[in-house]
Amino acid sequence: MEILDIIRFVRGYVEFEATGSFPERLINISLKKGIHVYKTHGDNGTVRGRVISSQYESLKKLGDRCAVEITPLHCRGIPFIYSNNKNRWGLLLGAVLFFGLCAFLSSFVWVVEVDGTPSVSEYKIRQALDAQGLYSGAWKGNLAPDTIERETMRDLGSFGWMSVNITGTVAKVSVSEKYNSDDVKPQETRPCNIKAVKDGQIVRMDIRSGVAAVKAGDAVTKGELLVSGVLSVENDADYLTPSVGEVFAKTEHTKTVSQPLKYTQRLPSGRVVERNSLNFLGINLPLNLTYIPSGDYSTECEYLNLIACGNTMPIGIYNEYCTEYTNREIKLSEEQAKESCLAQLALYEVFNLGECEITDRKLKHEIKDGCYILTAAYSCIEDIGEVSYIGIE
Amino acid sequence: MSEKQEGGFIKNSLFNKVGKLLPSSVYIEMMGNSELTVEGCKGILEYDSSIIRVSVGSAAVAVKGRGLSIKCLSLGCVVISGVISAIEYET
Repeated sequence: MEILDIIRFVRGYVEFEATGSFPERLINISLKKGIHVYKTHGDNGTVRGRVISSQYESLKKLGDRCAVEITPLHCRGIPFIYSNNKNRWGLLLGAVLFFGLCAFLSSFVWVVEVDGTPSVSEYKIRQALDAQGLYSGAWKGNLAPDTIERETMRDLGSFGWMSVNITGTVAKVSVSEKYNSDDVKPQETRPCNIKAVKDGQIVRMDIRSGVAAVKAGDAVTKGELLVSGVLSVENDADYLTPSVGEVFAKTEHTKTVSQPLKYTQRLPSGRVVERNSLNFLGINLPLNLTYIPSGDYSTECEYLNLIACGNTMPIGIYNEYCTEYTNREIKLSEEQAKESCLAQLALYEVFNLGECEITDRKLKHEIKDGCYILTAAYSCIEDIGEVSYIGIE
Repeated sequence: MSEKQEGGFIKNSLFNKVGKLLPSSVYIEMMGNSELTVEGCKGILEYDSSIIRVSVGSAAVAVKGRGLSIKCLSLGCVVISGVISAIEYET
């Protein structure tokens, strides 16, 4: 029904009122003459209806023959809009400019959507795409999606698959990570032993395959055999098997950290210079005349893009915050230096002893050459086993 | 040739009989009380928001109700919409 209304609007229609002694006759005769009267309403001896503008004159002649007076109420549709405005050249020019501008702006990429991967940040992908000419404001005529896909994958090198689809003014970039077969550790199938990777005292063993060469309480050194993959059977024949299991031992770790009691540090002076610009299709238009003075400044950038219907538009404000830095001399008390060293040790425990169970920690401190030196001795329980394949000649 | 003429005669007479039967027949279909289709109508006799009278040859069908209007009109068929309260067959 809506399509019919659109067609009628395009052709133009006249809404009329028929009055007389028998207006119904007009409808009957017009139907027989092929004049289509629609959306009719009858009330108090009058009939209202609509007719296509090209058939209105014929209807009016029929009305004269039926002794029915036809009064036009409204004339609607494109032919009437055109005839009412045909002398208004400014309107026509505006319409032409509007459609021209729409066509011109549609020839640019407005939005670049990236489905990033956990291994590569979206920023890096955007930088790589930018180098290939795909960015907000790029002219679509210069873009070859196949080439962009190939070159970006070659530059970044860590994608298994990539697709660039340009639909309208939106470029959708989908990337998929490369599947690395080395990430999945297969169950050992080759004959192997388990050897110690560091010195320690065995605390417990969990062996699922192979023969234990040591027992709990034994002290072992680095490289010593812990689990053997060589099995002896009754008729003096040996056969080889993969050794699978964990050997937990008590180990010792020592870590020394230091903190100078007096040092120079680069700190913000408190002076911040702000520079703003309007970004439209990749072009920056400055909004103020602020300049960055010479000196030690660190710059932070911020893009505030306009978002319409969930899509990031290539129109926004680009802010630059330049912070001045100066070198300051810092003096620490022993307590402050100790806190700094403890913080360094905490990081060491998290990143280096994360897989160990720390059973004891002994701290020893000294001040030497203006530095606070903290030494920590850790007692840990950890898996010291390492697979060593049996070479057969 | 004579067979064709005979066959044509039978067909023609059959269609003539059906043709004579059809114009006098009227088929009315009603959808709830909101829409009514009259097939075999010859014209509109009265058009008002409370009554629409349709000619069906030798008789007339009067549809009464509120807010009645002709939704669709073509040769031999009319669709009336609105709140229909009564249908009368006037001979």
